[in-house]
Parts: sequence; C-alpha cells; structure tokens
Amino acid sequence: MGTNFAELDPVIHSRVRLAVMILLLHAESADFTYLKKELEVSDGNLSTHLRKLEKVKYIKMQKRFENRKPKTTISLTEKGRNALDEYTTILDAYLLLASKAK
Amino acid sequence: MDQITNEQAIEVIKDMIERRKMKYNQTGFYHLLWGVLISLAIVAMYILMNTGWYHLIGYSWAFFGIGGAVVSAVYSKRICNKQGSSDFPDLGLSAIWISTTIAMFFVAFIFPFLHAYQWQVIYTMVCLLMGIANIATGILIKQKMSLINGILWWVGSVLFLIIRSEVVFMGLFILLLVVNNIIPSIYLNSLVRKQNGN
Repeated sequence: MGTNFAELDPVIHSRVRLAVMILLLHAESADFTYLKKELEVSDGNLSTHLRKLEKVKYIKMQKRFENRKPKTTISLTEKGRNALDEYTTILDAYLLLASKAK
Repeated sequence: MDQITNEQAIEVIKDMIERRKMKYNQTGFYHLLWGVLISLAIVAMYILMNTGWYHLIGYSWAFFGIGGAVVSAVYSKRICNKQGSSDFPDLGLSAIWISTTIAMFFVAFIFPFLHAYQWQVIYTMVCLLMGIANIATGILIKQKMSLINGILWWVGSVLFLIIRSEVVFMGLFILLLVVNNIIPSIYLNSLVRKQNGN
C-alpha cells in the first residue's frame, strides 16, 4: 500500500465509548443517567465503558449527592478532547482512502 | 469484542450529532413565553397611554421583562436538571437572551423613565434587539427558522421608522409577534411531540 496510517485509538473505537466522547464534546458536563438514556445501555455496561475512559484520563467523573441522591457527573478532559480530535482525523483519512479505492 | 468498523464509527458520530440537534427543537417554550409577555406589555402600554397613566408604562415593561427573565431562568434550570447535561450552546443561548433582556429593559424602561426616547424609537430598538438575539440563536444552533425570524424583526424595525399611524404601528408589532413567536412555538412543539413519538 505504501501509506502508513496510525492506528485508531482502541479505547475510543467502540460504539458506546465513541458515543460518550461525542456527547461530552458538546457538553460542559453530563449526568450518568443522561448518558444511559441517550445511549440506551444498562448501568453496568455504561459503568464498564466509563471506567475504561477514566483509566486513560479521557474523562473525569465526579460523584456527589443532590437531594440525598447520589449523582455522577462526567466531563471530557483536555487529554480526551485531543485524543478524540486525533481519532477523527485518522478516521477521516481512512475513509478518504477507502472512497478513492472504490 | 466491542470494537466497530470505521463506517460504523461514522454512523455513531452522525447519530450523536443528530441527537444534539433534536434537543434544540425544544426551544418552543421560550418563543411562546416571550411572544405572550411582549403582547401583554404592548396591550398594557396601549391601555395606560389611553387612560393617562403614562408614568406607569415603564413599570409595566419592567414587570413583564423581569417576569419573563425569571420564568425563563427557572424553566432553563429545570430542563437542564431533567436532561442531565449542560451544553456549551446552552450556555451561549443563556448569555445571548439574558444580555438581550437586560438591553430591552434599558430601552423599554430606563430611557422612557428619563424621557430620553420616543415610543416609535423604542419599538424600533426592541425589534432590532429581538433580531440580534434570534439571528445569534439561529447561527449557534443552526436553526433556519430563528434566522428568518431575526431578519423579519429587522424588516419590522425599518417599517416602524416609516409608519406614522398608531393603529398600523401596533398591528404590525402584534403581527411580528405572531409570525416570529407564536407560530414557531406551535411548530417546534409539534416537532418535539413527533420526535417523542406521541
């Protein structure tokens, strides 16, 4: 082929994690329940994906109590924003190459 | 494994962006609220002018303006809590409409209180401010209807400088409110109902 592409970030390259990152890109912050509703996933499934993103410091999770109920707020970090930016650039290049090959 | 193909990734991105767009169709409440409040302020102004209570006109504008700002702020906070997210465009919209309300408060209340302007000029300035807020909103959330509303407010502001008859003057303002606020609120509410599958 000759073209040497960087690999797409495997942490982002998943349906749920990519969707979480895109939703957070437009938001200052979002609640756990909001993400769960938008993505139509279970609590356990979403928690697993969020932990993966938190582990690499792409997101920041803050737990607090509101009206005596626990509330988890999630926001995108600067590192996460840069990683998503890089991911979309590489993805764009892949798709451009694929469309040329057709 | 939870890995996806590149094409699926693009679909996920498109889907999430579309969801954000749909959210902004829920602005119908603000169109309706401000349409009703400004209509009531106009009617109150007309009554006060024809009953000789000129000195209360500024207070009536202030009453409806501050009332609208409080209701908007409470509604916006409730929606934000209910939805569970606070978006950057949300913050931008709040900034635009709060600053417009403050500016309208000055135009419609402070200046006449100081006997600084004629009512025709006040109508024109209110239209210009409504135009600015609508156009900025339209650009921010990529909504054509708000852009068109903004342009109509500006067209109205030019007409107010030409028209001399008080009746035509008020009729035009009410027409602008119906076209720019009442009709969009009905349209946006029906769009939200359709999106929710009702």
